[in-house]
Amino acid sequence: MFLAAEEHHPLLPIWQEIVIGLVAFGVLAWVLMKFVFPKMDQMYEARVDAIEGGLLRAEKAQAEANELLNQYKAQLAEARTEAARIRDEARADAEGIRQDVLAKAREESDRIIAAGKDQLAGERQSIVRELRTEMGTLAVDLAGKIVGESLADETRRKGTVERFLADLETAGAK
Amino acid sequence: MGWTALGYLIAGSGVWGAIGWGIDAYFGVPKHIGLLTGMILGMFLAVYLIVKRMGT
Amino acid sequence: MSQLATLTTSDIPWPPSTGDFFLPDVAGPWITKFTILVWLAVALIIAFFMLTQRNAKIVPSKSQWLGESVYGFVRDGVAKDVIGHDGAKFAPYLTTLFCFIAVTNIYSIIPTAQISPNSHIAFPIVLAVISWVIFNVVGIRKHGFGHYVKMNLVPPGVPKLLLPLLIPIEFISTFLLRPVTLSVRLFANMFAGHLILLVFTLGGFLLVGSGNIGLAVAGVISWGMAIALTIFEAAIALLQAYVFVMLSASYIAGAIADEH
Repeated sequence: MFLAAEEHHPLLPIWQEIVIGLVAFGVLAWVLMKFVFPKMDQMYEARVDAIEGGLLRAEKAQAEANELLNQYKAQLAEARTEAARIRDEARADAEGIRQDVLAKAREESDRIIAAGKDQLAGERQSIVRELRTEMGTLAVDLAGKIVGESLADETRRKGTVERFLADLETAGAK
Repeated sequence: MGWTALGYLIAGSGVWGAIGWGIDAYFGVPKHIGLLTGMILGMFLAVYLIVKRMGT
Repeated sequence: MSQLATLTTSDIPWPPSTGDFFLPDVAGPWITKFTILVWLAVALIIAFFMLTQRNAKIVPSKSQWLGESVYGFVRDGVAKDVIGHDGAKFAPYLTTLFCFIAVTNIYSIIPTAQISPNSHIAFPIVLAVISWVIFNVVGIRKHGFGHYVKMNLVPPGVPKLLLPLLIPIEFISTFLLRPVTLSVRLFANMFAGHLILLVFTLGGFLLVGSGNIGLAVAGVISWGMAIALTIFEAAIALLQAYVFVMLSASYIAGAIADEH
């Protein structure tokens, strides 16, 4: 094994080895570049695609979620203002109703009072009127009985009664 | 980078040293004056080139 | 131990020499240990990728992840990092290069292989020339031949008088020194690594077989060194593959860079 061609200088290339080296390296490069590296590049691209696609999808999902969240928030805010509005309205309504009821009650009481007053006045008047006629009749009857004469003459009788009543009134007024 | 600089130094002193040596041999210059001058010149030129090519 | 001693002292070629790198042909100059190792490397790399990448899925299995991470390391860590956005185009070449160099380098510490094909300068030369052709071709394609050459040979902002002095240096360093350093760096590392391992391993045999207790102890220490250096060699093997690919990428980046 160690019996060697001693005379060969190590810096001088053996030309057969140059040929073998070229061919061998050429074969290696051809096979790898034809069958191995393109597939690896494809795989690499596919992987980048997959990752970027995944990122895109994630971004989209994120955006959708954000949009949904905003929507919910908007809805919530809307509901809140709506509730506040309803509450305010209800409060206002209640106040209005209270005022209404109060006003109605007051009106009613006023009306009742007024009606009472009217009635009283009317009654008083009718009593006065009744008293007046009754008193006239009574007085005429009394006078007729006392005097004993029938006062057939209406005109006369009326004048007598009126005079009597006027006298009576003036007397009462005294 | 370092290897490029080293390459310039070797090439510089090599080229001009060889030319100097040729002048020595052709004109019979004594004591390798041409060779030494060439090598020193080559070194200077190499340094100049390194500065020009790689210095900012 | 004595049996080992009798076996070793007579058979060990000492000191290790460059001859240890040129083994007898297995069958003619076309089929040698080195060429077999190279073809084996090609087969191993193809098998590795084919096995890990069959039934590739978007969510990778463990083996698929392993295969992809090699490609991803070169594509993201070297191609895109050094060349920039256009770098992905060069990732297949750079990955092929990285795998080829890494596997052929690692041979240097694999038992039975024990030597890297890259310790024969022919293979580093092939790889360096391919990288050289690629960076020049992409540069010429991008800038046009005249513009590309001018861009590389005429540094900006330099007095015209100096140009004749500078252009030869630029030419040598860009178009000659690059492939030379690329190949020699890889070759020298693999060559020296193998030589050092030979020194410590064979030296250990010699010392242990010397019959002297003190020297035998030194021999055992020498073997320990050989083991430590083997681990070191593994690191160097991967590092050199990375450096080669990194520099190739930076040459490509320089060739397609816009002028500043």
